[in-house]
Amino acid sequence: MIYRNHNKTERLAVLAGAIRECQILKAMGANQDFQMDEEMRKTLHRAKIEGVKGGNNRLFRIARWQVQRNIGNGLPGMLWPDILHTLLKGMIEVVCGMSLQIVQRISKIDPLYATSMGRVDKAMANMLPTMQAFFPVRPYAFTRGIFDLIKDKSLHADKPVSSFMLGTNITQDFTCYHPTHL
Amino acid sequence: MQLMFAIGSEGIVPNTLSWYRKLNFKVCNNDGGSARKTPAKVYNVNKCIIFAMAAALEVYFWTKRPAMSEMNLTTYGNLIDNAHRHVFHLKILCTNILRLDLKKKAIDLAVSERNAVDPRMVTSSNKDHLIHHYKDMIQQYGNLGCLDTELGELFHKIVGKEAFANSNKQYGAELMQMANYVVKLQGNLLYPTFLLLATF
Repeated sequence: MIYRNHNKTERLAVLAGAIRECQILKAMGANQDFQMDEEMRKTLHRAKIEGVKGGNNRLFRIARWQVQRNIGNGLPGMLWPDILHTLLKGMIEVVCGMSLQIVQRISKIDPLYATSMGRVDKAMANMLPTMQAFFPVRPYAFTRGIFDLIKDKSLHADKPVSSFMLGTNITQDFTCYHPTHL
Repeated sequence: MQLMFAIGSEGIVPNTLSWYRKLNFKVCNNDGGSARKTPAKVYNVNKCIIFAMAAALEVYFWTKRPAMSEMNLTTYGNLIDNAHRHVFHLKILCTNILRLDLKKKAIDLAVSERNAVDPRMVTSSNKDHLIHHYKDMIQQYGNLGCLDTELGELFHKIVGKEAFANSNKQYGAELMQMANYVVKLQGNLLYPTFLLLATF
């Protein structure tokens, strides 16, 4: 869904890093002449909304024929996928966290679904499939329920909250498969 | 997987589109409280959650496959796109539901604007984009079974925990208490083993 031109992304990362460095130097008293431009602000904003961490990454300096010929695989295409940190701690964690937040929020909004949190907890505590049923997903006995695991203020808040507040390790409990638990 | 079955059962979350209209939340700005004409989008909650979970899990299952042909790789790329779109819909639904101010009985539209991220992004980092490179990576490196980071993380966790237990009074004391408790239960037979575990 999100396709990028990696040449542009890397240039953006380097630029944003340089601007940040100038800001830090100014705050330390070294570079007093530096002033933020409108274009610099736009660059920093662009880096922020694209999720790019600013900085002069040394890996950018490696000669890479993919990038230099603009084929498009870029730096990420040169590495093998880190499934744990991109898929499990990324997409699947977000799905689990958002689903739980929705269940919690709806149980507060609508009296018809007031007991749904308890019912989910009960179902999670009582569900014990056989070990290899969902391979490679490992079944886990949540004896205290699932909502205890979320370190999120939205579970106790009446005010609206943002959806990017997931400090959890749910996915590791859910999905990490390793032979010590066989 | 377990969560999908738990939430998917009947009566946990609404399965119709009309439940949200019945609640009569006002749609307004945070500042002036002036009404807006456009209502917030709320999808069928049950279907949205189930579709997103199933799509994301399907990508995970396909990632763990021992071998893939070119045809399978094309399907895999489409599955990743599919999962991304479903999770994106779930994100819209989640932000719209979290916008509800329960005390004021109103929808706070300014909440999502506080988080200035690209609305197309599901997570707040570039993990979204990296997932779309999986197809290229598998073409380059082949089977991913030996390249998985889960086992390494697990061993790192064990080593980190043990080192932390040795350096931390409270955690180390807890381990010793557990060892003593087991020794009391089972006699002195297993004492050397648990002593070793607690001090290792």
